[in-house]
Amino acid sequence: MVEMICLRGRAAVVLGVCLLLSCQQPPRCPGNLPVLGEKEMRGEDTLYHTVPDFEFINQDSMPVNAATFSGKAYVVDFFFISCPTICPKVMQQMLRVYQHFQEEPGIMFLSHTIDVRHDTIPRLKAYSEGLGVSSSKWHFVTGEESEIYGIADDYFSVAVKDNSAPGGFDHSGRLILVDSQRRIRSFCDGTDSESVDQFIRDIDCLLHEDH
Amino acid sequence: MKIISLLAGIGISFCFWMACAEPFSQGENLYMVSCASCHMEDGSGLGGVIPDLRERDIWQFGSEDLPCLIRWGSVIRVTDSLPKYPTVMPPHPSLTEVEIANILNFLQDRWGDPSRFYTPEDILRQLERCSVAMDAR
Repeated sequence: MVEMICLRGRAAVVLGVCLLLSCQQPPRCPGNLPVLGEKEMRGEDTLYHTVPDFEFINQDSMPVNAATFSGKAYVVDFFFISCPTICPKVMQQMLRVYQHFQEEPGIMFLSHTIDVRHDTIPRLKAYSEGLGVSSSKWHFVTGEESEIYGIADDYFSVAVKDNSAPGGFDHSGRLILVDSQRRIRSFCDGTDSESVDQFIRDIDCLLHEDH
Repeated sequence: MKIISLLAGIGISFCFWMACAEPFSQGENLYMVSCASCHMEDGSGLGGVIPDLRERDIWQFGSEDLPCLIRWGSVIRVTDSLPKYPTVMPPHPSLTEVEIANILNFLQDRWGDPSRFYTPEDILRQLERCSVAMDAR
């Protein structure tokens, strides 16, 4: 009888240790995330699509460029403050992703306004403060309209002026994951919370990848 | 005969059950179409950017002014006691007074003061008042 209890006790300890260890393990990832976009073979090397240099300005009137995200992964989206359709829902999901990784130094956030005429720096500031997010981790940027629309293509997102669309702009509600080498590694539909759940798992996987 | 009265009984109770389950289903449908893309299906809004309709404080502000807020959007600034948000509520010119009454009755019932009830006539009266104010601008 005593032996039985001991055995059970030991089993419980072993089980507990296993559980403890499994908590510290990285999330289950079936290998590295794919690199998205066109590939080009040059000799032995594979060249992947990367996001080109950019220069925008954030809610604190500070310049934001590739160096801002140096050595870090970041999540990108496109929005505008007066958007009457999908933006609030997409922003709610972006906020959920931000809150999930709030304490994770390896990931940052970048939201581009596509309505540069109305979404001035003070308005972007008020918006980010309304969301209660840190401006060192989540940049809300504006800049040259053509540069913003141009870089949306490089992120495989859509952002165009369209007077027939509600609010005057047509854009996709995608969230896009960029790695520290500026390669696109994952994206999701920001209006679909299940798609965002998977996206959060992808970010976890990226953060645990061996470089 | 018995079967008919039994069926009628079931029919009547079904109607009661439907009425109890969703007393303001018209308003709910309109809310989902006209309001939920910003205020969200569960009324939670967006952080401090779009008002959370589940917060009771929101409903303490003049219920008389809400029809005007829906029709004209937040440019009308019906009351200065409302907290300021960094977003602007758009106008909804195509909603009729019956539809606004349906939406507000649904909202008051779910998150506000369920004893507050609007008839289309109430809405019309309040809209006339604020269209005078809008014309004067």
